Amino acid sequence: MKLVAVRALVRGVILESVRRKDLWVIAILGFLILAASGALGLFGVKGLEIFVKDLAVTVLGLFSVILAVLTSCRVLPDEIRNKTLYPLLARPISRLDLLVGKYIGAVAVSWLGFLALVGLTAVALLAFGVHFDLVMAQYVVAKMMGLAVICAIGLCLSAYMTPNAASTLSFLLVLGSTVFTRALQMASAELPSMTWAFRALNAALPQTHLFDLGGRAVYVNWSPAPLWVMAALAGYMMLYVAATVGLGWLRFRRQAL
Amino acid sequence: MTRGPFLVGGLVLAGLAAGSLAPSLGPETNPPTRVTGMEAHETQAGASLLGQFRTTAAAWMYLRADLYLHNGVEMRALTDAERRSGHHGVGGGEDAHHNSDKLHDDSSIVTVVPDKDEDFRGIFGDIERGTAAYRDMKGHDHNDPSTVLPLFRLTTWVDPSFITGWCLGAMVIARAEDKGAVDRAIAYLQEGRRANPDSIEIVTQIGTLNVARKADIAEGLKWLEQARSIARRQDKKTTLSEAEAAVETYRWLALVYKHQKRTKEQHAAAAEGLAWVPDDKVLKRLAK
Repeated sequence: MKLVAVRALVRGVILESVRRKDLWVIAILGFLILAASGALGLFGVKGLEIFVKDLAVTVLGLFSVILAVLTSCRVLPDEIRNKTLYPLLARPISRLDLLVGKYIGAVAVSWLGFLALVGLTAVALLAFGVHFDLVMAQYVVAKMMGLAVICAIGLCLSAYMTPNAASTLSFLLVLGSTVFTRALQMASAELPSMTWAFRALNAALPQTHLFDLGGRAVYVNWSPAPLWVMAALAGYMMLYVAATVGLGWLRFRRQAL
Repeated sequence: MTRGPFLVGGLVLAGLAAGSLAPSLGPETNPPTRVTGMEAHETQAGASLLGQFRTTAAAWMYLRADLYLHNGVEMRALTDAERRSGHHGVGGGEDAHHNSDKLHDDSSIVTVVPDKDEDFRGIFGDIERGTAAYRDMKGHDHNDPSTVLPLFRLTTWVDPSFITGWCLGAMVIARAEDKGAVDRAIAYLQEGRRANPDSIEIVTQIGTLNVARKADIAEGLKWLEQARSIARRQDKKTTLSEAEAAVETYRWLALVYKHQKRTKEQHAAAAEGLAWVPDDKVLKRLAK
């Protein structure tokens, strides 16, 4: 794998995002967050600290997922549609290099947007004297790992279907992650003989809700997640990303352009 | 001269006229609805998806109130299959006796994230128990309900027709130990009554607070009789929670009349209440 090529591709994705004004969306969302917190300030946040933190974490989670899905589902199809893929592939880089470069670029854009939102939210909350514990730092790290998984899912799906279909399915898989898991748990309770199948299905579906430490960050007296849990999340992220990007490459390498 | 601009102007005027008349549809399209605890997930589609903003926001905030009481640990009701197989809820803790104030029934709820011995997911389940706000909730206690009071206040501000917010909020206010707590609770309920003049539950609660907490029987009786007239007007065509409140009204009325040794009125109130719930044991006793 040519790291120089990958680096150039990552830079290209970020620049394209800036040019397409995707990050303007983050700026607008950030402004809305500040405006909403200003409105809350008018009514006073005394006694509403948990609610405000809860709202902040919910908004952060949702907007970052939206950005990750929309970015990752478009990086490849846009190149193909605009026919800018041909000059790229004319250079001495493999399709795998291209795919990895695009993936890392999508992750970089998602992380930049997420961190920008985190910064704006932190400023808004600190202005009202609402503080977060150390577990919030874990929340940010875990969320970033989760966004890496989401980008992999979006990229993989975009290799197999149209960007709109890929985004829709990505949203379903990511936002419905908890719902699917609970449904499988209940199904397993009803049909214990089929537990092996539910276990396999559960392992195959993306467990993006595992990366959400919002509950611990928002409420009081929760200790940070154990180190082994963070290490397990990192391991799961690497395995799942490798598997999904690999699946995407299986399709992309043979795709007629 | 083209007719286009006139057509557009006419449509705009029609739209403005419709907009000015739309609020009159409010009571039909937005009747006061009650969301009770975990039922919100099942009865309020908006709580799960998107819906009318006010009811949705109020339902969402009410569900968060339940979450806040459990310090972020998500709870759910037992499924039918679990009940049939003999599963029990987590039960209350040291303050289990407080749960009779209808905050919720701990005996029929469990954690959304399952315990290790009931989780088929292996390592994924262990990770989730490490990342989510999870702990063993058997014999748990609750956060001080006063911590959710601002949330109830916000809920009723967002959706004044959210009767649970008014009633539970008043209950929480009245729990405070200072002398003015009950008066503040009644003032809060009065605000709710102005927004929901036909709510049996709110008016009944004003009455019961006067009777039980202030020992002001005359004032309490006045409000209980008012709740009774609302119940008569509604004639059982109301929501489940309002029907429960109606039964509560008749119980209290019968008890107050019994206390005042007004047997005829006591029996009349009990009999009227039995028309709502024929097998209510309290009313049956008071009707004799």
